[in-house]
Amino acid sequence: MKHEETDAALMLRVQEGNAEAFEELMHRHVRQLHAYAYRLCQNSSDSEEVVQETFMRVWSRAKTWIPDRVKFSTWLFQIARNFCIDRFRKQSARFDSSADLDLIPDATSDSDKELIMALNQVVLRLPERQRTALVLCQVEGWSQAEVADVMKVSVEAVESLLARARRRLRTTLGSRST
Amino acid sequence: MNQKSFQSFIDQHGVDTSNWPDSPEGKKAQRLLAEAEWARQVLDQNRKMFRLLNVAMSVRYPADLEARILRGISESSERTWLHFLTQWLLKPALVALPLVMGFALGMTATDSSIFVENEITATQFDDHSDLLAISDE
Repeated sequence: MKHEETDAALMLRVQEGNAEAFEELMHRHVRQLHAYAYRLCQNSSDSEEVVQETFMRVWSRAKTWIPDRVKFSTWLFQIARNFCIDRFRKQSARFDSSADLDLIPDATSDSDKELIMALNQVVLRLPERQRTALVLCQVEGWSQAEVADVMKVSVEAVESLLARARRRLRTTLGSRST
Repeated sequence: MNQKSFQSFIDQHGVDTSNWPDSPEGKKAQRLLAEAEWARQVLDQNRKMFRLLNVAMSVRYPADLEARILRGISESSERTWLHFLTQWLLKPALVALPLVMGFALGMTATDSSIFVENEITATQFDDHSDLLAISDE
């Protein structure tokens, strides 16, 4: 069985300029990072640029990562989040207006499809902090403590952001169904 | 705990009951779930909403993204080398070039400058007394 190196071990090799270790590390995280960036930016080209810029930053500033201070994945998502926030600030965010219909399972009922589209629209309108907390916790399944590390806030703050985001989703959908 | 406070509890702690806190409030919510049909319905509605949210958040992954990242990094490495060459070698070389050329010219032109100097000295000691004599007449 092939022994799998930890992120930290790979990152130490990246710090020495090892391109193979970087490729392995990127391969390990790129899908999740892209999904996160897309859910935050809601725009294909922006999210792809964010992912590229993030990994280029990892490569060029590898030596600034300190193993005992922060987990590699937390550091990676912190960088990506900052790039996403930069984009929000520089330009009014350009949203792809709807969920990708091709990705909705065929067996989904029409009413559920409507709800899916509506949920997508509600998430688009959430403030960035609520959206980040919701995406990482609810969709990616991260713990509140991990999300708190990425967002550099307390666990209580994440809990509060999540509660507001979930309430907003629920009330918006509730008002649609009544 | 009534329906409103139970819903607020779900908003705060999510639909995964294994993540609910072991606090008095968490225990009340668990008890309600075991006893009340309406509480189970509220939880089911929330679970359905988050299941649909996961579908809404589905993302199409671009197949060539990894290749593009690696290409970008290799291009940026080339740019870094180019930057190093221009910043640390070419620019200082351009600044030093006039100095070096001046120095080289100075060294090679030594003989001719002695000639010019001799000429100046010779001109300076020319005898112009004949001109004075003419003017006296």
